Amino acid sequence: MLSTIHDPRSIPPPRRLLPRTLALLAVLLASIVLAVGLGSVFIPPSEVLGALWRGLLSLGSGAELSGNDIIVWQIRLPRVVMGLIVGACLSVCGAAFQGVFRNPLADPYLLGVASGGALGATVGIVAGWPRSSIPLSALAFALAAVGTTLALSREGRRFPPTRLILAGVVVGSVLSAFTTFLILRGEDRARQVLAYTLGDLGFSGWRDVVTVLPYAVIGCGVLMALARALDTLQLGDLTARSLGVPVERLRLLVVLAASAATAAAVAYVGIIGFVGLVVPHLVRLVWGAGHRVLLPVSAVAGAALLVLADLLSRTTILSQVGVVTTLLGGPFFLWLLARGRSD
Amino acid sequence: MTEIQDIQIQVAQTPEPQTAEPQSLEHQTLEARALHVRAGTFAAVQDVNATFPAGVFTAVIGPNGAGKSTLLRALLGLSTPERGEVRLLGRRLADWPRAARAQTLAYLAQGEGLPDTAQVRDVVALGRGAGAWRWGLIPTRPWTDADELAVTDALTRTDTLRFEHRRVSELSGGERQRVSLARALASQPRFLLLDEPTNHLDLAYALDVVRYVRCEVAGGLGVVAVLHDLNLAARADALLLLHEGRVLAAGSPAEVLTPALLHTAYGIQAQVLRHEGRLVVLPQG
Amino acid sequence: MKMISAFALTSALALFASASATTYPITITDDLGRKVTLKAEPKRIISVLPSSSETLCAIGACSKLVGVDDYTDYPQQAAKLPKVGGLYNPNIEAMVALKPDLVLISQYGKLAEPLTQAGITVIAINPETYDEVFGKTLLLGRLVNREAQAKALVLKMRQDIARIEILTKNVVRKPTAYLEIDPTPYSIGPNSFMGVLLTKAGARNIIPASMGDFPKVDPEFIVKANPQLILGVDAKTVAARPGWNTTSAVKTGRVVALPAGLDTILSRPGPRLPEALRGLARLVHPELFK
Repeated sequence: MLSTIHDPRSIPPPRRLLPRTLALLAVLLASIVLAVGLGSVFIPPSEVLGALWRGLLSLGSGAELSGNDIIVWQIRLPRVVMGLIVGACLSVCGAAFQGVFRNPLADPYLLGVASGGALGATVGIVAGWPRSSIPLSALAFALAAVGTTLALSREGRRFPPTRLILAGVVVGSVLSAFTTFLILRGEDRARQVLAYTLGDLGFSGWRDVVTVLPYAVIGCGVLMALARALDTLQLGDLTARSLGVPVERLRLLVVLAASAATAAAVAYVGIIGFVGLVVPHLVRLVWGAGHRVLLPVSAVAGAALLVLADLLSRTTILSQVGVVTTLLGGPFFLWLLARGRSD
Repeated sequence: MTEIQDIQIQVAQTPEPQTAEPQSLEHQTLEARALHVRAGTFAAVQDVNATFPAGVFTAVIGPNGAGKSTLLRALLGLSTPERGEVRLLGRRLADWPRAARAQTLAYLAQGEGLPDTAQVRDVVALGRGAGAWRWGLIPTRPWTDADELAVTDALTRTDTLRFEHRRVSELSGGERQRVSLARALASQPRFLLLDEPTNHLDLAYALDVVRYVRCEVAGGLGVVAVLHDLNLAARADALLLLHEGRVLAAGSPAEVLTPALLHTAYGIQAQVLRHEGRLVVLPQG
Repeated sequence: MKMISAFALTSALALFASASATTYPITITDDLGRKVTLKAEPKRIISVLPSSSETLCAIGACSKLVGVDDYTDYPQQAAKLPKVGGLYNPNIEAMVALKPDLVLISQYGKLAEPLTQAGITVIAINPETYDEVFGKTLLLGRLVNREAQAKALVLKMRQDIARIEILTKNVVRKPTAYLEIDPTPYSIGPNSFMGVLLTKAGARNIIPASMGDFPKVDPEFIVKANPQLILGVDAKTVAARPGWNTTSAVKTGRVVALPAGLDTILSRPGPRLPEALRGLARLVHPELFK
C-alpha cells in the first residue's frame, strides 16, 4: 500500500474555489459598471449614477427622462441587461449540450437553432417585413429547425445522440443553403443579413429584455434543475439508466429547454459565436465538471464575457459583438486544444 | 473515521447478512427464467435459466457474441425481455419501483467513462443513484449524513479514500476502475453486475479488482461478472457458460472448465490444469 | 429634353476644344490597378454595373451595349437587354456567348480573371466618391470613343447640380440629419458619395468624417446627436427603437423613408446624380421646392 498520507494535490475544493468564484463575481460587477459607464458617447460617472437613480425614480413616478438619462437608462442599461441574459443563456445551454451529448465540441447551435434563426431573419429581411417582426420570424424558424432535427433523428421513442448531432448538421446545412440563396436573390440587403448573423445587441430595449427573459429563466432553470442527472449521465447512458435516470427523457428535456432559451437569444440578438462553446470549457478547467457548479458559474462567466465583448464592439472598430467573441474565442479554443495535448 | 471502519468490520464479519431479515434463501437471488432477449432482429439470449445467489461470485463466460452483455443488461432491467422474466429477490423485476431497483442492483459497465475533470469523491457520490428523484431527474431529498457515510464507506472498501479529492484525469487505469467500483458500491446494493471489469487492465490491476470484488462477496453481495479471461473466471464461485445465446453449462469452475465444453464453446483445444488448488486453462497450439 | 442635350452638346464642343475622336490602341489603368489596352473602339459591350450602363447610355453609347447585369433597370433601352447575372452570381457563360469586345465590371466580384482568360477585355470602373463620378464618366467616354458626349454630360450634370445648390447653399436653417442606409444601422460619412449629396442638399450630417464613409453607428451616438431629420427609415421603426422617440426628428415628425426610386439612384453614382440630389434636397428642404 502506498500510504494513507493525504495527497498534496487533493486540497479540499471549496476553500480553493471560493476566492476564484468571488473574483469572477467581481469581474461580472466590474464589466457591468464599465459597460454602463462607457460608450460611444462620453458620460461622466457621476452623471451615470444620477441617471440610474432618476431612471428608478421615473419608474415610480412616470416622469420623462431627458438627455444623457435617456442614453443610460433606455439604451445602455437594457443593452447591458440583454448582454447578461444572452451571455448566461448561451453558456449554460452550451455546457448542458456538452454534457448531454458528452461531446466537448457541442455548442448551443448544434441542433440547427442558429441556422433556423438566420433563415427566419433573412426571410423577414429580404421580404422587407417590418423590423419588429423579424425576431418573431427568427424565433419561429429556430424552433422549427430544432423540431425538424428531433423528428429526423427519432427512433421510436428514442433520440440517439449520434443521430441527433448528424440530423442537426444536416438541418443546419440545408437551412444555411436556403439563407445563402435568399441573400443572393436580395443582394442589396446582404449586409443586413450579415449583421444579423454576426450578432448585435444594438437595438435591445427593455421590451426585448422582457420578451427574452422568460425563455432564458425557464430554459436555464430547467437545465440547472437537471444538473445532478447530467452529472450521472457523464458515466454513460447504461450506467445512468442503471442508477435510475431516464436517459431518453433527460436528453429530450435538455434539448427542448436549451433550444427554447437559445432560440430566443438568437432571435433577438443574432448569432453570437463561441461563447457557448468556450465558456463552459474555461469554467470546467477551474471549477470542475460537476454541473451543479458548472452551470451557474458558466452563466456568470458567460454574462460577464458577453457584456465586455459588447462594450468592445461599441467602443472599437470591431463593431459587432459576434466579431469580438469569435476573435477572442477562436484563439482561446486553440489554446485549450494545445494545452490538452501537452498534458 | 474509526466508526466507519467499525461498521465495515462488522459487515465483513457477518457471514450471513440475511439473518437480519428472516427471508427464505429462495428470495435472496437474482434469477433469469426462460429468458429471451432480442438485440435488434437478432435473438441474442434464448431460453436462459440461471440463478445468481447473494454472497456468490458468478462469472459469465463464453465467446464473443454469446450474449453475455445482453444477458447482463436484461438482468439489470435495462432491456425488456421478449419472453421470460427476471426475478429479483423473488419479485418480478418489471414490478420493482425504479428507485428500489436502482438501489438494489448496481452496474459497472464495460469501459465506464468517468468525467476527467471531476473529483473522485463526487464521482462516487453519483452512485447513490437517481431512483428516488422526482421523475428520476430532479433530486428532491436533501443529501444526508447517511449518504456521505455510504460514499466514504465505498471509498474505504476500494481503497480510494486517500485520493478522494483528486481529479479523475490524475488517476491510473487501475485506480479509475476502483473508483468505478466504489461508485457502484455507493448505493449499498444487494447485487453487483460487472461487464468485463478487467478489460484493458494490467494483470496486477485485474487481480486487484477481483480481490476487492471477492471481499464484497464475502460480505454477502451477489456478484455477476462477465469475464473474458478464463483464468480470472476460474477464481469465481460459479460459472455460467453461454454459447450462441444459450446456457451451455453452469456450475462450479471444475464442472464448467472442461476441455470438451471449451471446445464446444470456443472451438479451441485446451488443457485444464490444477495448480495450487486453482484451475488453469492452457490453450493448445 | 432632346433640345437641351443638343444644346449641351454644342456648348460642350465649344468649351472643350480638346475633345476629339479617341485614337486606338488606348491603354489605361483601371480600378483594379490593371493596365488594360483597348485595340479598337469597342462595339459589343457588356456592363455588369448599373451605373456604367446608365453612363454609357447617357453618352450615346447605348447601342454598343449587348448585355447588362440583373440590376440595370435604367434606361429602358438598357434594361431590356440580355441579363448576365449579378455581383455574387454572374453568369460567365452567358457573357462569353454574347461575344463582347469589352466587359465593364466593378472592382468587387471575381469576374476579371475568368473573362480575361476567355480572351475578353475587361475593365473595372466603379466611381465611389462624388468627384470620381465625373472623372470616370470622362474616362468611359474616352474608352468608347464618346469623349465629347461625356464632356457634355459632365458639364450638364454640374450645371444641374449648381441650380439646386444655389437654393440649398444659402438656406439659413440647415437641419442636422441622420441618413440610414441599412437598419443595422449603417450610415454614411460626409465624404462618401451619398454624404456629399446630403451636405449639398442643405443638411448637416451628424456623422463626422472621422467615422469613415460607411460606418456602423452605435444607436446611443445617434440619440445623443439628436438629429432634426432622420432619413432612410420609416417613422414606425424609429419610434420602436429604445430612446429614439426623444430625438427632435421624431418629436417634430421629420422621419422620412426614402421613396423607392430615390433609394435606387442615391446608391448609383452615375448620370442621374443631379436627380438624386434634387430628390434629397426636396426631403431636406421641402419649403424650397413648392
